[in-house]
Amino acid sequence: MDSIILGIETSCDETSAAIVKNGKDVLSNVISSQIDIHKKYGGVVPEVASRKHLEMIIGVIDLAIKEAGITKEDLTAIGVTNQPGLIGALLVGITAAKGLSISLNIPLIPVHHLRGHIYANLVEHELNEFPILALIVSGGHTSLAIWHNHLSIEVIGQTLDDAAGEAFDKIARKLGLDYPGGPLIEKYATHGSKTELVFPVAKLGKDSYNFSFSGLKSNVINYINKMDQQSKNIIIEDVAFAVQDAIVSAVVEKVLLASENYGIKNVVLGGGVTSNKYLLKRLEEEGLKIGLKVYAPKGIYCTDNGVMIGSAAYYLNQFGIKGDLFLNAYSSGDIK
Amino acid sequence: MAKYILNSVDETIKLGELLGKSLTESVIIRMDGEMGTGKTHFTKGLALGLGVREEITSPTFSILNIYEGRNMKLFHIDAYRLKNIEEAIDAGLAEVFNDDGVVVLEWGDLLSPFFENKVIDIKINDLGDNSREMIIEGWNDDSFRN
Repeated sequence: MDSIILGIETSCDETSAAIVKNGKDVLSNVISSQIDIHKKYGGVVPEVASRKHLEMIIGVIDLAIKEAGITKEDLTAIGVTNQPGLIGALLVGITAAKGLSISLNIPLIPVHHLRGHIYANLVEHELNEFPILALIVSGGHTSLAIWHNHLSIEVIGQTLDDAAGEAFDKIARKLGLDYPGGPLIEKYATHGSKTELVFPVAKLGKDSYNFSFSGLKSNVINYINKMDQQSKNIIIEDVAFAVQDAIVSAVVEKVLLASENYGIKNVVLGGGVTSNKYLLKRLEEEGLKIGLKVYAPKGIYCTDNGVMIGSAAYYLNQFGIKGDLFLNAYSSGDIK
Repeated sequence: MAKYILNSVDETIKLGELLGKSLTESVIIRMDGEMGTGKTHFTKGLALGLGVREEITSPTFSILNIYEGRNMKLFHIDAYRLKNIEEAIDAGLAEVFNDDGVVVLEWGDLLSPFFENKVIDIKINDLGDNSREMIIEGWNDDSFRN
């Protein structure tokens, strides 16, 4: 029998639902920011709010089922993100998932958000030689993990302060760029070049896989303030280049270090910052030298989506991992 | 009012730890300082003082991070992305101010109607490079020297 899983993701700003068949075939993928909310629901939709999820969730799930060309009764399980994230937002997805799970009498599978990002890779790539390295870089997360098997993911490094995407966004804010600033820094950086302007990134010991970007952020802010005080103009393209180079170098360095130390030859990527082309290029070029192969999901599956939750739930379901009606939301927690 | 000059990230963490160790009742710590002045680092110290074992990371994206301390919970809020009070209520922030624990609030002026517990106000001024002036209303520690 085919497995047809509804994946629900509401951990942050996006309300998303997707139908995934047998862990890889995407029958539908509905993401709230991708559809015209105003046209469909009318009114003003707040950017960050559990109420937005509440207003969207039923419509998004219904649309996912309709676009997949199935009915609710065809579903064999439901996967839902239960951590980490904003509790109120997570609870909207969890409550909808519980209701459907009871009424359809099918398993309810809790999925850690970062596990979801890792499993987005299995939608497109055949990967079965564990262990595999996993790098998640987004606005809210920066984690490096060893994916041992479907039941075990070990986080070996994470940010001690700001996430990589957050560093991009905050520096962009200081530079007067719009939100989200990460893609704009990348755009300006392509017109910039390497100058004597170098922003150091904190070194956290040679065998640490952790990241720290708050020092970089302070350095850039100090630089901009000093230039302001001296009434000097900054060349935004060159600053963007230096910032991007610093963040990307720090990330690439840790991935290569882990690859060599653990002898792991494949790395999967996930999270919004993965769409940064310079990061991908550097990882591929430098990975090639040590025999490390880089896999990334296609664009839409890098950012938050229901597909990745449906895919992860498929594998967990095979091992009988499931939640019950006491399933709760957690703002933080290790990958389970 | 107490005024401290902090010359490094380590000193910022140290002062936060002293404050954390001294707290015995629910309190709201309102932090006012530009981006990059050390609000998260101060909170790292505070968490150490409260006996939190987890790593404190920036709440800018998640808005609210919750940690378990030795005796009290720590709620770390960055309200920068919230546009109005309705969004704050929707995000579940109103409840936090009624809960037992220590609330650290960044960019949270719009949340002041929720305040019920005692408030400690911290203003951080950037003195250039890595030096900061920290002005604290509602708490001081005479033993802190640098």
